[in-house]
Amino acid sequence: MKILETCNVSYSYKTDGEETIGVKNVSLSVERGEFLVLLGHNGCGKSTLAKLTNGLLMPDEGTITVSGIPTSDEDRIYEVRSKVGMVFQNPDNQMVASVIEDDVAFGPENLGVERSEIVKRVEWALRSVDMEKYRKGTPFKLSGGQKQRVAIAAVLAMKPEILILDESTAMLDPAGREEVLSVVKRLNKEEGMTVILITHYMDEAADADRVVVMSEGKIVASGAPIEIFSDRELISRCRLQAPVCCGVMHKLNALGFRVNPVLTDEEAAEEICRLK
Amino acid sequence: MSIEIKNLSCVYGVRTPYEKKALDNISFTVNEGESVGLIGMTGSGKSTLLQHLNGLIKLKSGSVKVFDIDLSKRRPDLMKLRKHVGMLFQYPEYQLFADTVKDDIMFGPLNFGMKKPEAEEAAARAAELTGLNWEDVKDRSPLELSGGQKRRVAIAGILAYSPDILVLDEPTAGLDPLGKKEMLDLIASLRKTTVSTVITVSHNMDEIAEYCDRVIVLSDGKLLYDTTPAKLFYEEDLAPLHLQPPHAVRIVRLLENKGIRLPHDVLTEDQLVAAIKEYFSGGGHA
Repeated sequence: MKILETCNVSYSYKTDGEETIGVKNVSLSVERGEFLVLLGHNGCGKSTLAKLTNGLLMPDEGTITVSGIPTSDEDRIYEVRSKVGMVFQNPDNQMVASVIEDDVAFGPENLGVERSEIVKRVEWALRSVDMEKYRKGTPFKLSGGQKQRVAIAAVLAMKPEILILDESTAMLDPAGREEVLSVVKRLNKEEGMTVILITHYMDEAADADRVVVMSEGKIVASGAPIEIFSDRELISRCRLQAPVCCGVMHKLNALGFRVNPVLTDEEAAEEICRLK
Repeated sequence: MSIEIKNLSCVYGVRTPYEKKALDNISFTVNEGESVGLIGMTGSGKSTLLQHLNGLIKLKSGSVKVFDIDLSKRRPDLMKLRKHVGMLFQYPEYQLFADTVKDDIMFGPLNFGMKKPEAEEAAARAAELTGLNWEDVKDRSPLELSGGQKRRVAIAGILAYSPDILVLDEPTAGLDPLGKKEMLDLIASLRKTTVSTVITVSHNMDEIAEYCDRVIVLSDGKLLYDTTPAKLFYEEDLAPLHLQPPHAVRIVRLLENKGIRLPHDVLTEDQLVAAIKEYFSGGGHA
């Protein structure tokens, strides 16, 4: 079943009579439980698309439905927003309370959830991101990776059906990135959470069910990671860069070595071994 | 010798419950023409160290010398120090503040005492060095530019007063893949033409491997390694630091376990391809 459908969606930013295209004619369906990675150069419309899906922006043209509810239905916009949870780039901008459990409770409180239910949700959400032992602490003393995990918990407490991470690992060090990604992957595998991961780190795309590439406001490709990264012309046209292992395989092929496309360093080593 | 640091320590929040030793007895020197990568986890002391190089933190213990300016002496000439050391902070595009690109880039030179026409000339030259088209951008607001362009404006604002050392705190963070590559190529070209000594903080080991000839690793405020990228990535155990070696090194290691031994100076994609070609062409495969 489709959990998210956008149909011919266009949106432009208007300032002082000037129009800048955000997204143009975007049609995308996302299956329940899918792990989708959205790639594209800076300013290609990824974040605009993300904001359109939970009604932070309203499309100029086209329709967007989340679990069958159109985002244009003003009476149900809060329902839409509680279904689509978003985590942004800068962890410091997303903390609203000075105690972690209050921060996580903020979302469900605003949705009018009962107190006893909130307590349960906060506990569950913090456990899901492995932060329950910090519940009484303050978010300001956490590392970047821990803050982003609290930000994810705050979104989970609203029981979303889709989790959108908009470059949520961009400001983290490698250890922090790893923490956040492993939490997100576990939520996808074990809880069946639909995930849309927007990133500039090509390595993060290797495990995705599907990679969607945007360029200049349009969706230009959609496919399995191996298909996307094997398409050198697409990669360079869209200002992307394939992971190192893909580049190595491509260059070896160009030199006349017969190797198959790969996605990980381990697979690359296997392929190179076969040359013996 | 451009920079000489001896027994540098720094403690935050002295005699409070939050007392923290941010730097613990750090010593190293940087010579003219070197490209040094500075790595370490968040909280390892990288930023504290960088701030000392520009006199943004008052030296309390140890000594820091930048050219002839000795920060352990009374009243060091901080103005001169800051002219020597151009510092690019993280996400510098958030620090652009003037109405036009021209005013923003001229701010540094004017503050260092240049006259207006002279400063404008310096600004134009610096902008062109970073690949911006001066005539196109000079009268625009820095806020309307793209992320990569804004970062170029920020770098131009530093180059405009001709520093001798460039200190860059995560210069590629937040840029898209091509933007990252363009930024690194820009720094490499600046090293050849303008500022030969560069210190770069990065979390990306592939970048460090490709663009630095020396690496300094901080952990918990201590200097753990000061070595070449090849030695660091092939000989040291980086797992406790949560550092993954560059991809090319990982593949070399995996191949070793399968009985294919490639030289231990392979650090980048192109070097790896060349090494594999060499290895197999010996056996008549290609």
